Amino acid sequence: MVKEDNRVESGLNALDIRDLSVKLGNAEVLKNVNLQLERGDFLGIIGPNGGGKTTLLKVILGLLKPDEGEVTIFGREPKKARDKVGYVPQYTDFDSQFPIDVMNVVLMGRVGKLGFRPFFSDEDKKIALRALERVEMKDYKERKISDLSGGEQQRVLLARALTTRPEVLLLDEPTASVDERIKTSIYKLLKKLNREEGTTIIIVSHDIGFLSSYVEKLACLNRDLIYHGGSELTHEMIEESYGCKMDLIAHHHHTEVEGGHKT
Amino acid sequence: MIDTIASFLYGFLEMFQYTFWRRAIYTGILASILFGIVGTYVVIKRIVFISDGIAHASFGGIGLAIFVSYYFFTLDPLLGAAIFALLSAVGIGIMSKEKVQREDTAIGIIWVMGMAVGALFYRITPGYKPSMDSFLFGNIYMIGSTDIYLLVFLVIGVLITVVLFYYELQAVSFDDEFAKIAGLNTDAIYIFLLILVALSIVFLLRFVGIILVIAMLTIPASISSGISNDIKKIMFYSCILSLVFVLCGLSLSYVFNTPAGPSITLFAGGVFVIDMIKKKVKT
Repeated sequence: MVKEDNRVESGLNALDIRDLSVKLGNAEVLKNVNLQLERGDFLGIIGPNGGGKTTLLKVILGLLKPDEGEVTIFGREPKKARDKVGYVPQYTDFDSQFPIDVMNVVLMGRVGKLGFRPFFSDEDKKIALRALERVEMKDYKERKISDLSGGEQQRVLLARALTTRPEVLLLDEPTASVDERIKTSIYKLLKKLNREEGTTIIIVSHDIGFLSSYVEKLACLNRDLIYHGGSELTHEMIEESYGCKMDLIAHHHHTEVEGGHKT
Repeated sequence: MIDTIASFLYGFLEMFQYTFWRRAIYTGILASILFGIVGTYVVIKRIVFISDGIAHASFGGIGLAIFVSYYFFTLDPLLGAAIFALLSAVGIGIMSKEKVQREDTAIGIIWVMGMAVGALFYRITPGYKPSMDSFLFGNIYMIGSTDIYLLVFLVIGVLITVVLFYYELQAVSFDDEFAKIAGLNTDAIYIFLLILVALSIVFLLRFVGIILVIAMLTIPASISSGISNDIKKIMFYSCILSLVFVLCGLSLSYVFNTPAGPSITLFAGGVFVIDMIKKKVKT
């Protein structure tokens, strides 16, 4: 499914990253990253904190400009492909005191289509409620966002991303501070979106266990991207991307760390 | 006690006999709408420092206008203030778009440079000029009927904006990045919001002054945001609170013969402190 370095058939990849390098200030956060995903791919990205995972997502979203290289989504540059892309940021990015209820957060996904209309349509509200239903948060729609737990907030943010009807869905650690039951339901929902609607999904996470059982492909990111065709992890891959943090990862439950060379 | 209240009420009614007090009250009513609505965005988007920067920078325009008026041609100090406030609003908006490092430092510098330009040109201009503190702390005696007409236009503009772009402003205030991905031109909306802040500051300059304006743009909205989760309601409560503060402050100022701007601000500040203590006691 994935064509590494197959430049002949670049066609309309869901995502096409070529020789991407990004500097923030003087630090080179991403170096020579190459990644091609077809429609319907489900990729997990792991890597140490500060390894450039969030930066990579922001480049794909067109929020950061690459210093070198090129990123396209269905053949279009990121800024012009935003109508196809959904984003679930880390929930810690928000002002915890912001006065807004869950329904209004989810409706934000429809805000780009408002134009000069002063109100959301019934259609918009239906889409938002449906999204809340899918993440099992419908009963919370009138609650203030800051009164929810971290896991609940993350599910609301996932619902918000769904209301944009994305063809490519990017998630930045959506299951941090979520219990196992909710984690399973989030991964199941993503799997369903991926299978039934053909949504291309890129998920950044430390949940190596969950990733290897749900995603199709894994990549490790620590400044440069080590791409792995399958979802099994190799010892070498973890070591190379996490460096000294390897022990910590290897003891994570679910994790199957295989010795030897897999590639 | 009853005597005090009676004389207070009497004083309030008596105020209407005088043109400038009447103007002050009309200005106060219009100002309450701006304090309530624009102030809510200042508080929830956490642009208090930025707004205060814009307010102070506008003093540069005042000093320059006074200087130009003496040596070249007549220029209303408020027009000078408006030019400086708008330039700094747009400048700060562009800085945030370009993700300038240490944005707060840059804003602090814009703030002080504005004040320095203002003070310098004010001092080197000879002849008769309005006192400096009437710009810094407000002076209701300077409010003219034109000021009130201008204020009416601004209030109408702000109301139309909020009705049409309520959800856009909410999205940009809550999560700028997501709003951008959802298809909004967030940079333009943010700069537009800063322009509304700048104009509000300038149009209320004679009422509460450069230094005190930020109190009224923050205190009512800050108290109200503790009451509701709905920005619309917070705006409504803030407008009501602002109106109460303005009318009480003006009455106090009339009865005790104290300057209006500081009276309003101190009254609002007093309520803010009581509200904080109440919240602390509750938790």
